[in-house]
Amino acid sequence: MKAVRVIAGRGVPLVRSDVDTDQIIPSDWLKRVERTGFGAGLFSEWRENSDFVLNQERYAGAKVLVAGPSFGTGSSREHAVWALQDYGFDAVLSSRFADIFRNNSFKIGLVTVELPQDLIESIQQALDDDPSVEIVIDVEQRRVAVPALGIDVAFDLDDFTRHRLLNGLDDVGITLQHEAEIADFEASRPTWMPAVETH
Amino acid sequence: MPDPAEFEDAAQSEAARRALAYMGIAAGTPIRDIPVDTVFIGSCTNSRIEDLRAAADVARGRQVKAGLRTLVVPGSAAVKRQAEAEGLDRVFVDAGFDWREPGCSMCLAMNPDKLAPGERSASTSNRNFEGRQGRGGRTHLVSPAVAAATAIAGHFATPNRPGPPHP
Repeated sequence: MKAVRVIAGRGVPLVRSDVDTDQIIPSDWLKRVERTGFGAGLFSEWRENSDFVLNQERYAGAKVLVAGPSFGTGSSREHAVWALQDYGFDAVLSSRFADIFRNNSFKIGLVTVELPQDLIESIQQALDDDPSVEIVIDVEQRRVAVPALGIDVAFDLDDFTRHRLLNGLDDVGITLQHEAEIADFEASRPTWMPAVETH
Repeated sequence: MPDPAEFEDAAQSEAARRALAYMGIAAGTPIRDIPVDTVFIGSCTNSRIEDLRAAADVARGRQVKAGLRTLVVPGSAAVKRQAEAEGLDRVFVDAGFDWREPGCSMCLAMNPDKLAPGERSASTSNRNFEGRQGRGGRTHLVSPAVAAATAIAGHFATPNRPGPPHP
């Protein structure tokens, strides 16, 4: 997992509540066995409408999705997080995230930040008026800033998740911090027990 | 069906308006007047043995409305074995249902079991998001007993009174 300290970039306003994972990545895409390439499937049904916000050239290259409330509801799909990342988003802002989606996002390294709905709406309006508005998410300081709007606020992020994000540690990465102990254990494992694969 | 204009919250009213438009239903339509194309009795959550018993109790001795697609997909291989041991598969097949192998089937439309755009289902699965059962598909979530009654009537119906096929 990639370490993340500060995300600074432009945003896309997704003014819609209760966006579920079936919309983020429709089920047709779930047959892939890789973790890559899901960006093409992100919101794929909505993207067939030329007016859809991601089809607007002025938002190309944005790193932050500024979403409506209750983002990520529905089925647990890691693919939803992979699709957002693969498309180019490093962070999603919303006033409320579905629990499972939020857990998945932190395990994979997509930064999800909860802000009050009135702030979300101000940022969405600003992005609608001017797509060049920059959003700065500081994971280390746990703050979100939108300098053009004079916004600079703290957000909640527990210490452990912050540590994981700052150091780029997913569950495998955390386990591998104990690689020496694991190797010791495997070396001392009785020969009569089932073999443990080593690399 | 509720009228979006009666919602006090503007966001909820807009969400309801959008939902009715997607579902192709006018506000105020009685649910019984809405015909379905497909009935799906399945999914790991609502195709347990007791669900299949409930649906079979409604279907026993009756006939599925002609032209309807009806899938009964046991929630697991164990449920399928138990259902067959109890003779529930015969009840469904005799009534005109399609008795299937266990699997996800139309719960999420990853295999060919899916709705065509605009098609309407009564489904015992537990997610009715746009496109969940196939692009443009319209999903109504119902209990296994209501699903069976609906399959017989051809429109939404209660288990106690599936009634004759809708004219």
